[in-house]
Amino acid sequence: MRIKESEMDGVVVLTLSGKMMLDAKSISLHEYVKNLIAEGKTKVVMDMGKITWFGSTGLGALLASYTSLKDSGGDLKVARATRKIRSVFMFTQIVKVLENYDTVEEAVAALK
Amino acid sequence: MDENKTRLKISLNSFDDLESSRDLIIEFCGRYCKTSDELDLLEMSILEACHNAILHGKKRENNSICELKLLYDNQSIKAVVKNYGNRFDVAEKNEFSIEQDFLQYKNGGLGIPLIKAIMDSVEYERKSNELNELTIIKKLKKKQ
Amino acid sequence: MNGTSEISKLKLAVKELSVLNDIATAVSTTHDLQQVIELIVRECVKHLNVEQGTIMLLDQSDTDDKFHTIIREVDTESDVVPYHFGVQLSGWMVKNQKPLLINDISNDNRFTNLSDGEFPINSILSAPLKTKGKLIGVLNVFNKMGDEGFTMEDQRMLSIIATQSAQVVENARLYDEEQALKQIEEELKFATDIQLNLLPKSNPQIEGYDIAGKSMPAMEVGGDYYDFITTDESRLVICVGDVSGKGMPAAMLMSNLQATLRGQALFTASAGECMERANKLIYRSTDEQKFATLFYGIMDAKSDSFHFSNAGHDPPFLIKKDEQLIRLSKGGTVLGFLDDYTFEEDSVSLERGDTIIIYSDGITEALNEKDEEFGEERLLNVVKTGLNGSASEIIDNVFEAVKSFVNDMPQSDDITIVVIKKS
Repeated sequence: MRIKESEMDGVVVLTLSGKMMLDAKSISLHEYVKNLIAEGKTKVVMDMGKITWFGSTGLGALLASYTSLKDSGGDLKVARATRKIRSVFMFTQIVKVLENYDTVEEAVAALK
Repeated sequence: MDENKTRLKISLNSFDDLESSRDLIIEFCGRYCKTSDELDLLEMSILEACHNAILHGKKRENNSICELKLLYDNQSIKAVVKNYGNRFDVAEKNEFSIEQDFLQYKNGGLGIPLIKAIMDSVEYERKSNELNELTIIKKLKKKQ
Repeated sequence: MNGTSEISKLKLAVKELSVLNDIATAVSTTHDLQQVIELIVRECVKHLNVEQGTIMLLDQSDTDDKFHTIIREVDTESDVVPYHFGVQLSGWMVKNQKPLLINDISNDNRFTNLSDGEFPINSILSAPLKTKGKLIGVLNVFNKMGDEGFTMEDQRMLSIIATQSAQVVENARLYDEEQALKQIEEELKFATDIQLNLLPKSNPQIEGYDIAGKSMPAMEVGGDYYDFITTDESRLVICVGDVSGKGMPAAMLMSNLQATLRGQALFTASAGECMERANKLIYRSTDEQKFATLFYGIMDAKSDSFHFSNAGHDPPFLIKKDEQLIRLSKGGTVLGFLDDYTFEEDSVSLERGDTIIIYSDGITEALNEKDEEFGEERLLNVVKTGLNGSASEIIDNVFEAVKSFVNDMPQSDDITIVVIKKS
């Protein structure tokens, strides 16, 4: 998986692409987010439009990141989750805490 | 109905193999699933199980690291995932729930709980010679 | 009549000046934001004869009306001003940006629910804290003692204090921020120095082989690591890896990893075993989970073989003399992810003209302005074009190519490459 970091309206946008599996980047996603928190950046949007594989590793990383961000007074929103990812969100009821938006702009606006 | 079409066997030796076999798995399940949700979740469980098997599997002579068998029978899809390697205990793993502390799962371990939540039955058998056999079954929805 | 009012004005002016002087003296003793605020409030409470005073600071990163509130208690043991009142008050100030004086707040319908709280508020006097035209906070005093209530004189006094204090408060706040940033920078620099010092200072010399390595760190060190470990006259261990995270924790992990590998290299000839031990070390080393990719290879110049194990690192290329391409991928997942994991290993034999390229993903993932990645194909092309050159030359070619590809784009990740040529 690749992570590209950018900023929009004071919110960090992480554009994720590729497979969220057991590669180094996927596994250290939570650590990446913790580094952001240490830098005072606690509002994050993850753009998942280009994720082609989403399994338990990805889910774990997402939820751990969410927990850490919330604990620091921030929040995590997801944008452009593919149909498969949304199925998992719905099924596991994670949709209750982790909201998905159709566009990155909407997710950013929801965080402001 | 042609007996052969309701069964599928795939040998996997790497994550690349798994990636290449994804379409086959989706095509097989897609013949019997009624909704895209059902298919997506089924695909996820099967890939998750194979993923774990490849990750923890050991190569044994002429065997592949992981063998996946898919069967459709009696409105259910059954996936049997075999690999050689350390034993793992599915019984110990908690059920998946939104209430739990996800920080414990940041390194993996969510796989089995997830599979258990999606599938109707998850059974693990440790056979002789370090062979693991994980059988997961999902009863499909009836046609509307 | 004129005379008395002149004298009163003078008296007032002297009083104002002495208050300002008191404040100036008090705040000159410290840079600390918290102390500065407390000092100012204390002086206000004293000179204006009130029960309580507060300074509310505008949260810099938030343009909503979220204020950061500090309360000073003097005579009464009261609790914090109720939150919703603070919000109403700050909201009013953001809108109006001028002093506010209310002597009977229960009859003022701009603010609600005040006297029922833990700290009953009856009268209030507020002045905006502005610097360079920007509102940075509010200075408030509550409950004037005595019967008169707040007067215009009081308002004038508070406004003057506010005007003088605003810049002082802002300076203290900026100083705070600067110190915090400096500390982070220093830590990062220290960590970077540690990491850079772990890297090899020269290329190894081994008979029959031309081996070179080079690493270029990004602005914020990304954690690339490589090492050459000579185990005996004809054997050399080559490691290339990428440690996750930044700062001191990453530097320490890299340090530990190197020490472990150097120790292991002398005792075991199995790459897989080395990986297992390194994996256990990293998995158990900290509470905060850390990871590292690692490619570990043992070059045996006597038998011309390269025995290796790859833990989650981009598989190196072995370019055979007949241009056949082999990826060295056998191994397992990244170090530190699973406890007790068995890593696979493999061997290749090396012939004259063979070249091995071990690289970090900082190269293949380098981006240009069009957001295109440098990629494996380009890397291979650059290498193949200059394949006849020395290992050092090949490395320089790659670095040049990456540099011109990214153009002006900042380097976001460390770039590392090791080249092994059998001559």
